[in-house]
Amino acid sequence: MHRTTPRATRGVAAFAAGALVFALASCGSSEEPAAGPASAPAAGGGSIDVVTRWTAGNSAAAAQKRVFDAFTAETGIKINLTEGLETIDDQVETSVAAGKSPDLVIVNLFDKTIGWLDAGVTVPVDQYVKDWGLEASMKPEALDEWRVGGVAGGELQGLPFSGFSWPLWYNTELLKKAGVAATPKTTDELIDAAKKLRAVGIGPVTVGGNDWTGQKLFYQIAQSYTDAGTMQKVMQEGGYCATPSVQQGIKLFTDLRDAEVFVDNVAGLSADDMYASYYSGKAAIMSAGAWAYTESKASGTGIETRTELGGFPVPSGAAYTKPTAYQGFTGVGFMITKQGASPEKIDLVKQLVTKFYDQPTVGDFVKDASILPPVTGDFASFATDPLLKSSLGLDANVEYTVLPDVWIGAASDPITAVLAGAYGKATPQEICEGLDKATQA
Amino acid sequence: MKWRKGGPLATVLSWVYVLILAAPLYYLVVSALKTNIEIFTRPFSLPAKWLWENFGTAWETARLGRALLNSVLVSGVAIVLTLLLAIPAAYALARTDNRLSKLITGTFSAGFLIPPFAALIPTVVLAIQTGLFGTREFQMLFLPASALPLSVLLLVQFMLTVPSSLVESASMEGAGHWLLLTRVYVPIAMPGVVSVAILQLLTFWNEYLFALTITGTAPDVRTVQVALPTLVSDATNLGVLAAGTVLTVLPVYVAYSLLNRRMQEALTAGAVKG
Repeated sequence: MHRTTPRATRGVAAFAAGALVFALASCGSSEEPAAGPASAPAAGGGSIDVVTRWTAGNSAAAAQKRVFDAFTAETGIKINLTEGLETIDDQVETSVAAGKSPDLVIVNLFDKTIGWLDAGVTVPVDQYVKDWGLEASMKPEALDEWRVGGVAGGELQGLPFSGFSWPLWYNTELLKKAGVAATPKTTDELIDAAKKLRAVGIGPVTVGGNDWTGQKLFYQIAQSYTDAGTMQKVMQEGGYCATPSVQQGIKLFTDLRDAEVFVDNVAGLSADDMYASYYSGKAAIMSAGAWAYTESKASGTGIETRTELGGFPVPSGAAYTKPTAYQGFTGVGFMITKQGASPEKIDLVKQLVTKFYDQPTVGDFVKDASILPPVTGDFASFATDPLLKSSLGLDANVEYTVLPDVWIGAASDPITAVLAGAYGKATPQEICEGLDKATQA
Repeated sequence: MKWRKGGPLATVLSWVYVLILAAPLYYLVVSALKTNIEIFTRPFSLPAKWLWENFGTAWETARLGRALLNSVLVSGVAIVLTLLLAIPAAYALARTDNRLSKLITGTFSAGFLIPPFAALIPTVVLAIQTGLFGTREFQMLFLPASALPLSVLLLVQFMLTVPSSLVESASMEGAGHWLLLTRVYVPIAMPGVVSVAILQLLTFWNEYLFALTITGTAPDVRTVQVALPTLVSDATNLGVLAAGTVLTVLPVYVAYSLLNRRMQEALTAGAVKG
């Protein structure tokens, strides 16, 4: 989640990082954290090395900077910040292998980061949540999503922070122009709406067919006939072809594709194409998460005033009675490395992490980056964004499906490659075989 | 106006070629002054509103000033080291005609057979073992090493064109290796030296994989190629990203223009001497 298109470099770097970790582990050097130049304590309260997914271009970067600045001013503890790019997982693994591990990684739970606890890159945080007084305020569902296996009782891999809702966006003005009275609730209504939209020259559903946005929408549709437990198992272990309800969902996807529900050439589009075509009124429907609420307003098109949030329409006989959407807390959280858990560092890390969970700080992130708070509290006054306000009422209108991130794990990139074909001309059989192969590789 | 033989077609084709080369540059520059919406909806038209502030935003957000300085430092030191090592090596190989020199030349040629990706892991290990992981100094040392095979082989070919009569007469007048190298070989091979400098400077400036993996993304050491992707997010402001790209390309363009002119002068001088 929260990923831009992987590059060829990513694959090379991933291979290199993996091989490097293996090579150095065999030399017995990766276990011992060595203090690098960045680890040198600052005069005063010491220092913390942080790698963050919230890079400068991210809507949460400003709120993050305010936290760091205030923290340093209050405690004298210096933050050595390194920005993690698309290859943040490889960057961190290479640093750990080089003996220059950061203390804290602000990253989303996806792909390789899911394996960090097993690999010994990070430590479990169950006890810290209790000792640091966060347990009472943290939402149990947020914690569970960060547990191994995504279930209560599993070891806690990190502290969730950035939750999100991920609905369908409907441009009501364009729907009205095409003669569609209300947002479609069933797939038949969606097909009908797509025909009407196309008749007046407006694209129907836009999505990044060759990146993570397309991957998520595919899974949302493919699990239409499947219960959550079965879907999680299939995502984790494979069995797309062998599970009739999943196969039926994949068939539904290709039926919708063949009925031209998606915009033209969707297989070649990226997330940026999706945002631009929706914001500019070239397409009437898109699937995007809470992080885009503030971005849409910043586009200056007024699209936020013409948008109604809802779910993806469901077919008859579906496992869900309402249109579907995603909701989750695997956005961005805090993962503590072995270095960060060392006796000389853990108290500094505690001070920084707990600072993030202050109610005003969380509120600042709600206001700036439209995050769904991971802690209980009244954040309504911070939800100034109109779409964020609207999303708070989603629960009554949608049902939430299984977000694939935690379950597909490291197979995410190969699966996205398979699904680019699904948005093209691949048959249901070809798609399910491709997914099984990518999952079991 | 008179067309030369085959002129009209050649002229038209030349202009088409120029347009093909200029189109991406034009697209990049106009995109740097637009919003995302405009980039996608009116990709090749001029901006409806010229967003010059995109350049300022890119500069501040990605902290490009420091990154540009790092890139200049790394590329500058690396190119000086490359030439300091490659020129004497090429001179020695050009002046020696025996089995050993052929073996050494062959060894340099073998450098081409190693793909950069294959060298990544051992290079990272080397950086760690030397204590230079996460520093600019490693890039300054590593880049010349990776550039030496091509640089030496190119310079050898240029130095082989030095007339032996000229070398003999200089030797008879008492010129040693140092004078021969600096007063005879380098001036005559100057087009080659400048070509190598241009080629390797572009390679050093654009290097991304090793800079990302070894030098890293810390603001005080990262190069401009590593700083630029920090502008990418889940909903990237592509205008700002394009503006940042223009800012990173400009120094290379200026350097290329200066060096290219120098190369033309050197070529002309060589022609007169010949």
